[in-house]
Amino acid sequence: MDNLDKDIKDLEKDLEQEDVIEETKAANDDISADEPIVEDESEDDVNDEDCDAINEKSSDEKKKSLFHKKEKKKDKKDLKIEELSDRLMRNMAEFDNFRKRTDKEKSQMFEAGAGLVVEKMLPIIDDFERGMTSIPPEDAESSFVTGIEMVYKKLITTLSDMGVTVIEAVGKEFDPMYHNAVMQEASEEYESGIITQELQKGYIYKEKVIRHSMVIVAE
Amino acid sequence: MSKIIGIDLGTTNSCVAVMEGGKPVVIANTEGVRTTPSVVAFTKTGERLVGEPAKRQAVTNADKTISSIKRHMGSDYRVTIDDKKYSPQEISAMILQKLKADAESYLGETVNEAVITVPAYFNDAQRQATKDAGKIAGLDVKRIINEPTAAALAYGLDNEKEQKIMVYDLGGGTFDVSIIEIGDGVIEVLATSGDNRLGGDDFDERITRYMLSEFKNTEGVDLSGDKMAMQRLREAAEKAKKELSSAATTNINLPFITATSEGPKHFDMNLTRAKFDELTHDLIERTVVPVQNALKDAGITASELGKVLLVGGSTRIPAVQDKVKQLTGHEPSKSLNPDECVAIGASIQGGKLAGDAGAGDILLLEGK
Repeated sequence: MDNLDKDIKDLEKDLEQEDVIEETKAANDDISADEPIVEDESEDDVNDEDCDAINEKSSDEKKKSLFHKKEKKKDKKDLKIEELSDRLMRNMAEFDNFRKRTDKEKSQMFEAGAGLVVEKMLPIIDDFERGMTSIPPEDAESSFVTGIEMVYKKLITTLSDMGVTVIEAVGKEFDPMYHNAVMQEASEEYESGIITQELQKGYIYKEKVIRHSMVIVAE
Repeated sequence: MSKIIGIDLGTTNSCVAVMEGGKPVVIANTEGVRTTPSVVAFTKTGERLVGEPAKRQAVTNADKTISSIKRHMGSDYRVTIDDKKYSPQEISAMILQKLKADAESYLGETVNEAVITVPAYFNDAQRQATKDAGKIAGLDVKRIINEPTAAALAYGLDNEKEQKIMVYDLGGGTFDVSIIEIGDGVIEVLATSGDNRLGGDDFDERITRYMLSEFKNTEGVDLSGDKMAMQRLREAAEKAKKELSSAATTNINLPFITATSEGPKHFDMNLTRAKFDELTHDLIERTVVPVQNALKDAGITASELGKVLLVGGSTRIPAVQDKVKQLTGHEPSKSLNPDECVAIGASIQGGKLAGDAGAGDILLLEGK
């Protein structure tokens, strides 16, 4: 991981700038990046032979000894290890969260897709219904019109069986979660806040609103 | 340590993003949409609505529905609702709260820190108000960064050579053009200009007007008084505008648009991109002078620009892109979603501050 390599170099630079290393504090903190990181010609001294000498973690101690410089380097490595371990744990937690979310999204994919398709069909259903309401009375009984009505009924039944339902509007209290108010009007018949007209039907597919009802609300 | 989210707190729409696994991700809201309208409403029952629901009830509750509050940030403007006064930062905080909640829902953890973007021309009072809004919303705002700077970060320009960049931002309601200079770990704003009453809605309106006049000419019917018809026309106009960004012609088909004594009438019209460009030509022309002013104030010619970035949904319009190319001589960068790239840039900055996104931090010099 490129990021990790870069991060190690960052850590190196930071650690060498600090005069005093507070191990316990630093071990739990991430690098504070509020100050800009100053460019530094520090070297990567991971391969220093001193690191072979002491293997135990002594991060809780701040020894002043003859080998102060050696201690400092060892502590820096421990700090590095703790920092990277912390980062690794965070990455793993992030990945776990990502996996859970992806699984959830996958299982919802089908419904999301179906909902999109239904949404695209709605304007066609709207136009169909508009056509149905403008049948001239003299043709109303013709077998052609009857046939079209049968097709329409079949369309609505198919949608309903799939889990598509119409949102109730006229006479109901306006609710922005289900309705989209495009206009207000004075009304004798309805109280303020009640829907007086439905301009376009709203639909719910499997508990999700795929199109809000377009309505006019009483003032 | 929790994540630092990046927020584009826009005049018309807001967007939130976060770094995940080293890559920026835009977070969808509870309605499943990747941008949230910057609209806040107080309902009759005292409930607070933010985003799409607030928009949907706006006409029934105009007095208590607030949009475009960004225009008042940093001023003494107050909104009075139910005998209580709210400052612009308190209203903005409500929008930020929703974005925060959506981010927490997505990440599965609490979010306490954010980077928020502001226009490059925002003064100290406006920036402080934005920071305060974050605080009220429960967010520690680690940085306020300029929108054009965020766009540059999103395009990864902080890792490139030193150069001067123009950001052409034509979005929901405002046009902003900025010249910024990237160099040596520092981004500086050289000049800004714009038109704060120009946006996507203006383009829709031109198509709607054209549809009305065409229908009057061919059918002799004036649809402007028919509420339902007007609603359908407006929606169809917006849809046509979007289609013409990728097609040279589009068909607008509205059966049974109205009923007359002769029977029902239908609206069926083909709209070409050429016609659309003709109808909206003057709108695009309004961006020319601000662009020229910005170059002049920055003391450079267009040829000295390294890159031109497009931000805002309306920059998807081919005629806009052509105009930008004509004005600057550069092929504009548009590979990132123009509605989202500012939030993405903010999240990248958030990631750098959190120590996620790799080496080095970039010093942002907020010059005017």
